[in-house]
Amino acid sequence: MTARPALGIRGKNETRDRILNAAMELFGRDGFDSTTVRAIAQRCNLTDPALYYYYKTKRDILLALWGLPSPLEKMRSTTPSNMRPASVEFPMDDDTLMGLVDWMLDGSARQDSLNRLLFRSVLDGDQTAIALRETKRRGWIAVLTPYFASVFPPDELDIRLEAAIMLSLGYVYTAQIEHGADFPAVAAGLEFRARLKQLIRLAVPLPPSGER
Amino acid sequence: MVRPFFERYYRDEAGQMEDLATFMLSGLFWDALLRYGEDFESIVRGDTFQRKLQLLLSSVLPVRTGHAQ
Repeated sequence: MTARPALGIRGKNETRDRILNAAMELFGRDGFDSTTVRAIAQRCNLTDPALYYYYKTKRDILLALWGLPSPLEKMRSTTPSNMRPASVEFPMDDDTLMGLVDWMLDGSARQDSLNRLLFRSVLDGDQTAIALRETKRRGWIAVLTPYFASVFPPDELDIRLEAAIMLSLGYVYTAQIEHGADFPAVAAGLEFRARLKQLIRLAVPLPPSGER
Repeated sequence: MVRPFFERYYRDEAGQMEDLATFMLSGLFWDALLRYGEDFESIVRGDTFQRKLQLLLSSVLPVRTGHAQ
């Protein structure tokens, strides 16, 4: 019989968070297959039976991790109101474009461990991970499209949006590979951000304000 | 390997243009690998992907034919 910890709802939620944080760290570092349930339990100072009370299998922990708010959802909730899609009645200007770059980098840094785990699982062929990554990808496009549509004509919109997304992905993925666990600190650096912003301005040349 | 090409066409802007092309292509290939998995190789060899790649490059790299000697 599985042990049932005597905790209130808040205590159970806190324990779940501890388990998920420990699992994310270990999955990200050692990979899903190499991480044991016992290692996760030890990481968060639980006994094996106590952990099994919350999650029946290691796979359940992984699925719970993917059920956490996505970077996009978290960023939406932390985005200044003047950068939300609802404000696109105003044409996107340079400040807004650069704000979107900061917004994307903040989210990538905040969700670094989860993204590493997701990408590792995608490359392993995990169908749930592949579907989740595709959902996030579409989410990015849905959020950015109104901004780009406010300044680029329909025949130019797709290619400018694609260029901005691919450039950002390449820049972030390269840095994640190069810097490993230090990526969040690197992504917070002004120089790192300035370099991407300069490249984004080249890939997404905003038309003069009088022509928008 | 590609630096001489960028230096020939973009001169003082070579480093920046090379970064732009490199990161964008890196993103394009990583995105395809994560999206298409085992089909990655056939997808990137296909006409659709090749056209997309060419279109992206030509849209972000300004033509500097006057610099080429």
